[in-house]
Amino acid sequence: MAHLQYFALLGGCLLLTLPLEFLFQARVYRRIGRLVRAMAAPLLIFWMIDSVALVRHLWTYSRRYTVGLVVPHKLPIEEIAFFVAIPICAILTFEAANAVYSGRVVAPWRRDKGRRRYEGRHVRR
Amino acid sequence: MFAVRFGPAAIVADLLFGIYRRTLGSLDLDVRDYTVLAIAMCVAVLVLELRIWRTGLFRLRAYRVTMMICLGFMVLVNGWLTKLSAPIVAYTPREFSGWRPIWDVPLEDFAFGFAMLTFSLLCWVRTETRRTPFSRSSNPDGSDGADERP
Repeated sequence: MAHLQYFALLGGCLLLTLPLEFLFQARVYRRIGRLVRAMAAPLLIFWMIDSVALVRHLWTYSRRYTVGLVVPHKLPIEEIAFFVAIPICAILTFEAANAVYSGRVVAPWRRDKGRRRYEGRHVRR
Repeated sequence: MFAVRFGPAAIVADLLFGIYRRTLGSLDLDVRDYTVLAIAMCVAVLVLELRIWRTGLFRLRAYRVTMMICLGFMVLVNGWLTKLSAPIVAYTPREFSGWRPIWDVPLEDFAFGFAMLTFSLLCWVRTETRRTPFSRSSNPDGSDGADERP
């Protein structure tokens, strides 16, 4: 089980940020094409940086806590998952914050207030 | 020399690294490679946004809030990855500053995280095809005034 630790950590991050997609209507997974287009360049660049860092012994990965699959450039497959998962978490957070600040979505903790305000406007009209 | 064999981009990166190593190595300085890499990444991202792409991401409140939230969670996740009791990622001591401010997270990792997240968000914002939804101005052509650009 210890081998799955890194993957479990990344899975936890994705699971924790998943509600943002629905509660805040972040609409990130729903725009999967755009997500793929946006993520391609960062993935390739950080893959490259990571492999150079690995080859130059800036850091090493524990064999105990990774599943042992490696991709070209001798990177553990978890690192590729990392460069996919963590930016997705950040983009979800960004879109959620953006939805609230742009007024597209009323934050869940303000929903009652927001509804009341909307009804008031509606009645006046 | 070309320890990284796959792909032209990796070869270019390795070549640049070799040149950098020769130049700085000949000066007989105590150069920490990860420190240099982390600073270089931050500078690259800042130059990319402020001088080339100019998406206006840094001016968004959503971006700043996102970075604060991510910083909080990054300490947890990164701390788990780098904790010295059972490290998933182990750093070569002579290649980074040696400062581990909180939960054994190297100082350089914060810079790495900033660069990585900012670059990802920049790429995300760049793929927006509609009119500028991120600017708070209601002006449709995007020219919202003085502080835009020189």
